[in-house]
Amino acid sequence: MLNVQNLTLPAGKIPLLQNFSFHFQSGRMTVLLGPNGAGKTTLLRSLAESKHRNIFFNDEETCRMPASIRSEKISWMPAEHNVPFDFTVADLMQAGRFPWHKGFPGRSDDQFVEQIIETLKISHLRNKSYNHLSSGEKQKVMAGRVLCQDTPVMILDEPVAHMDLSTAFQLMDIFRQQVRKGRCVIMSLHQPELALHYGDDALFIKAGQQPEGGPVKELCTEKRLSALYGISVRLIRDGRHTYFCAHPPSESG
Amino acid sequence: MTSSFSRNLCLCSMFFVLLCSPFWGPAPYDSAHYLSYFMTETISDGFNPTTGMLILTELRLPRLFGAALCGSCLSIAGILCQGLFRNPLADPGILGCSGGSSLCVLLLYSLGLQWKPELSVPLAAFTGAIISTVILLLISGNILKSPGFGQLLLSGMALASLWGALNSFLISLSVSRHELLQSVMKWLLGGLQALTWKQLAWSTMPCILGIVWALSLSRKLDILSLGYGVAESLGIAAAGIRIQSIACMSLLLAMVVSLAGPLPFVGLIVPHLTRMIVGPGHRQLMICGLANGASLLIFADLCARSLFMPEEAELGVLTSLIGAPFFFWILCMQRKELLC
Repeated sequence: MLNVQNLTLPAGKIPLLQNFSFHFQSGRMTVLLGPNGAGKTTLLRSLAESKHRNIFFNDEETCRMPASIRSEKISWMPAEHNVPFDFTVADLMQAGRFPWHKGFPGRSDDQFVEQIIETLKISHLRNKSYNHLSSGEKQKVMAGRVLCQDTPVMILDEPVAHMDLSTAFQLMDIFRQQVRKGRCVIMSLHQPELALHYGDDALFIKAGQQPEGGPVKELCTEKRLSALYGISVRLIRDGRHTYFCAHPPSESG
Repeated sequence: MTSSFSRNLCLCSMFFVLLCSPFWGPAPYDSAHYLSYFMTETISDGFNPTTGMLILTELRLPRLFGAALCGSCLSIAGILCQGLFRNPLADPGILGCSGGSSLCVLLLYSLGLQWKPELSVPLAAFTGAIISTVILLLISGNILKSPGFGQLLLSGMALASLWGALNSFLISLSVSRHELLQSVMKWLLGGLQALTWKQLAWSTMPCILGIVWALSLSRKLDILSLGYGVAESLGIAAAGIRIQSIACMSLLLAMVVSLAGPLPFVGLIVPHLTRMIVGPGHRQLMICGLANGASLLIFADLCARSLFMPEEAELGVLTSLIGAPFFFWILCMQRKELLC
């Protein structure tokens, strides 16, 4: 669905990615894993904001699409949102419908937003100001905005970074449903468990190296994860579940 | 429901002020005189119908409409500026826009080029605003592509102080020419004393045009406040909206500068006040801000001409006098939210 061919991303003078090619498929969730500063956000941002060439949505180069068309195909949730004015949660969710209603929301848009609010279980926050929410709640609202945009490709930068355990699972379940509907979901995560449980494909990103892509089950192994993060990662199987366990480097010696 | 109620409240208060204001002033002709004259056609003591009507139609009504027009334009320009910079503390003056247009008008005065002043002054003001904005666009570099906010804001401030210095220089050159100095100072301090119907007729159309333009941008400004990257992903051509907002703001500001001189603080206070009443949605904000700006400036003008009778205070001085303490108060009320 989203096809990257020979993408080179500059970060200052050194290229962050060189001749990177990957196919983000529809009906699959692709998870980006990697240490801080490796370039996950830069890659996601370039996919979402489409300033670079060589990124194709169904054979159409995204940087050539007008913003209004692109907004019907690709939605984007950055890791941080700074909203300078006191918009309510419902206002922000409705903003997600903008590509479809162009500023004049109709009844179907209201219903869609209501439905997402129900799904996320945030109806108690509906009329609260976004700036007064906790950071986990803020992320939930912004993920809700992306869900309201309802596009074939959804790109999310660390959508569960500030969420508690159960909320993170809840949100991942919701995005899993989107994947089942045939959406292409791309997100960066810092939890290999979530990647293994929910993801289909993984993309390992390490600064100065060519990213490794492939099915999650093949990539998320003790050896590869240890190499990725530079510490020893253990994999513990308990029936159907798999847990990752990492020791502080100071103790492992 | 509540928002439409508060909008109606704003509009009603504007009409109330509009209706009441022409019947006060330094001349001893007040509402009682006019009411008895209009209603029963009796002439109360000391009321001269001819002078009374002349004061009403040639002095008070032009001032009233001028104040309403300037107030609404300034508040819309302020809302545009704050939406554009995604910063509730931004103000059109910060961009150097009003400084630039003042400079051009001052140049016009000091070169003695006031041919058809009702046309040439607005034109000069607009030219100044546009030139100032274009210079701003050039020195802040790739403003069209990358969201270099801080850069834009800082270069705007630098530009504003440059214009301020040039203004002072021009004034210092005209010290020996008393008449010129007097008219320039009067204009710079801001006021509506000398407003004529002719001037108003020339500026009304551009003002209405600017306001309609701003209203057409309002929903996009809502999306823009989520951040440029997100706004682009929601289908907004952020650069285009920014340029349009800047142009529209320059137009509105130029009209105000040509009518009443640079009036400080109105563009900062009114959007704040209105946001407290109707919330941050730009459409409601603009409609109510229009009404509130008009009422505020009519009221300020009323104070300017009646508080210190028989002398008149300058309107620009008064808006600063009211505006600055009020702004401190807002800052104290919202200190927490503004800091984060």
